[in-house]
Amino acid sequence: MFQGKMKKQKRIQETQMNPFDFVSEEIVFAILDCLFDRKPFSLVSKTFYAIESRHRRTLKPFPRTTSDHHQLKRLLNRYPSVTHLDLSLCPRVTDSCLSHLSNSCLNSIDLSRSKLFTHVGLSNLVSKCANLVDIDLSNGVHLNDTAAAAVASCGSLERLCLSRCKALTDIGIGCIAVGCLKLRVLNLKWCLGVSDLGVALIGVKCKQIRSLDLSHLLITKKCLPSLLKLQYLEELVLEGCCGITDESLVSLKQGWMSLKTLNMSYCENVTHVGVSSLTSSAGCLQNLNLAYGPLVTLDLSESLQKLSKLQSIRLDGCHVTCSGLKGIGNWCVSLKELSLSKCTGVTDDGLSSIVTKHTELKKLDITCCRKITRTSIARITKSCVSLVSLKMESCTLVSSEAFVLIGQYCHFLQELDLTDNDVDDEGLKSVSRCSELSVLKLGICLNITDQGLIFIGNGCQKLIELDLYRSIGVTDKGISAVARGCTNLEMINISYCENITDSALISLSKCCKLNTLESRGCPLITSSGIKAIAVRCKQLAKLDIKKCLNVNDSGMIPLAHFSQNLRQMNLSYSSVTDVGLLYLASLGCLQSLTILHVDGLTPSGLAAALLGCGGLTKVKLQSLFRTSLPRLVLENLEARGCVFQWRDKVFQAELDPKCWKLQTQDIE
Amino acid sequence: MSQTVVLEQNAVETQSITLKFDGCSSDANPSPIVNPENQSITIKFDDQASNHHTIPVSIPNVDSETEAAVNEFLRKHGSSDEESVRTDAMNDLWSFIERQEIGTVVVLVKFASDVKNFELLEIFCQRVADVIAKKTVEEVREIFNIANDFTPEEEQAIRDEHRWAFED
Repeated sequence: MFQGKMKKQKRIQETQMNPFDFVSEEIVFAILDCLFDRKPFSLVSKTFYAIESRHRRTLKPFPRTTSDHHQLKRLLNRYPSVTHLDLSLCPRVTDSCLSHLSNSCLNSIDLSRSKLFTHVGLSNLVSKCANLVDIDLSNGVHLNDTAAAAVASCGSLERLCLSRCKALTDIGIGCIAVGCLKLRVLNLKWCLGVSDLGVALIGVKCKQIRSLDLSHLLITKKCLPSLLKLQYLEELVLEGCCGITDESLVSLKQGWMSLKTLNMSYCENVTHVGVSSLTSSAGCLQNLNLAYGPLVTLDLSESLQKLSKLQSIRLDGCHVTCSGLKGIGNWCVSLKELSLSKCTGVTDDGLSSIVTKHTELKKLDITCCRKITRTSIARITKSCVSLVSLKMESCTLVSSEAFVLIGQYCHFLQELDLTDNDVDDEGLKSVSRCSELSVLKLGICLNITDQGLIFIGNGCQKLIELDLYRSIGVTDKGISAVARGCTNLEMINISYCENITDSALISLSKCCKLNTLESRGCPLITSSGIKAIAVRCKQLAKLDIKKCLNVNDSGMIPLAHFSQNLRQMNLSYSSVTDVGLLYLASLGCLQSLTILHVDGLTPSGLAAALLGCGGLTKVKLQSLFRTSLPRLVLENLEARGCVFQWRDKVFQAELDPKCWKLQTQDIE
Repeated sequence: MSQTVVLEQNAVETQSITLKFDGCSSDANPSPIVNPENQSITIKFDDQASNHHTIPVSIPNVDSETEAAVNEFLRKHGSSDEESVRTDAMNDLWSFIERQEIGTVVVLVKFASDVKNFELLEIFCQRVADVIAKKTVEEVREIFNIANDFTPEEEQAIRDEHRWAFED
């Protein structure tokens, strides 16, 4: 007993047995719930293997499983209690794959990234899995009305996503309306074959609907009366429904009392007249999205005043008038969220009058409001001290001393976007007082240096995401300070911070939760830095080292060995060759690979590497490989579900950092 | 959920027992039920009272120091509604648990589950999970004295499935 306390003894005494023998399975399940990676647990013994098999509820198979049915069957037999099957990594799911799914526990299945199955497979699925409640068939461009009819036989269905199923028509939707009477959530975004008739049928039959997405459908006022009869409808998305006009809204006679959230963004044919009618009938609206819609005038603001429960409004991209903004400032309700992102016409005067009134604002987005100055920032920070999110990318007229006010007054900030602003180290010193900050974007902030980041490292311990894209004043010293202080960091972007060396990466390797590293255009980074990250950041899922000219094959070896979660890589313009790629082929989870302008690639080496990667779904290569890679290799990969994107971009030298803004953004 | 406390009276001596209740617990007066056969008194507490109780609990199969630490947590955690006091109590218990043998913690998990104290259950389960998470498969076997009953082929087949078949 005494001995046990003196030494820090980890091993249980010889005489004691395995403590797990005395606890029930329920208790082991509770422990497993706290364990992130349960695979090692299942390898310990047959008993643990069996327990873990009964515990697992969510299964996300890799692509190879659906190509090899024996493997799929084995996997499904191993995990009989799975309730959610996520096949979004498997592009190739055939009808016979679906026929193996015979599981009464299965509640939900995600087939949004899968092709090749038809109504036959869906029919089998629905008949064998009697408790299916949630099916995601987004992107099912190949699915026709027969497939919809197959889904319709699932009487227990509550959530159905058919977004982008362009081949569906009113007939298919009609079948679903009649068959799935318990539907609560339905997404028909981009189902261009569906018209007023189909939507009206939904309104008539699916009385339990809470949420309906009809974005981009060519519907008109004819379907609205039946939608109005949906007593429980809380959320309606009509993004891009250009057939809905002022006249359609004016014709709404009854009220839509249950509606809480309405998205009418990109509805070009709705002006303040239509909105006014809407506010009379949908009096309980809490969230309204009118982005890229009407002109925001005093008339519009005054009509919106009728919405006594309004909490959030989005006016992105609208042209606003000063009187319109002042009108918003006159409302009785106190908004929680406001977005004026990319609005033209936002001035200090108008914005100040809003924030002075709406002091309970939690989220404010003034991205690209290029006319506002420090006056607005002063008013915002002093009035809205409860701010949780502030986005002010490209508010280029705001002078540097204004940023000090943010840290002085807004202590609850969790998200702050200062991209492309004049903030300096003094500003960052103040921002570091926001100890709740989890997302900080400082891209294109040319006046910040390591000193500012040292403050952030000291003050913002909860930081999860940091963007320093093209903030060239940043060097290893600043990154180290952040890595030391912000141990929960998951995403960092240091692209084009040319002075960054391996030393920064070695510091970052201490952030064991790091899953995304973007370090494009850092010529001083070598394979040693990559190795440091690979060894310690086991969660690494996305790595972008485009234009890191000095990273070569020796950087790929540790990635292949340690980075079991790596999904996405960009190796363009690096010094990696066929050999390096072949190492990467052993990563079962690699899905997306971009390798442009890499000199060391030969067609045969590339072919071998691509064939080895079992899970590739997207590969970006230079056009010349389209003809030089063997035809059979390309066909084989495409059959496995891999999509090739061919690029012809000419080699580009980097411009002077301060001139880059004139260049079009590099996308790949 | 209600909590039952059973007090057994020694047949020879009489004992006086003082029960302390937290000042801000429920108004319900617990009414004792005396069972003359085994000389025990059963008192049932209401929900609110059981969450704020300061009565020390007895934990089977652990040493007195551990029992004291858990009771200290229950006392502190139940004594105040303030976030900082509760967080301190959690941190103290957490640092104590980190120094204990893993077998003890598993016993504590069972205890927490039996008494249905979900705060304790979360702390203890997380600790066991953290210990397991940092270890290799062989190390886990060693700590818990578990024999490897897989054949090398079986083990390799499972490892392959883990690598190629699904995401965790």
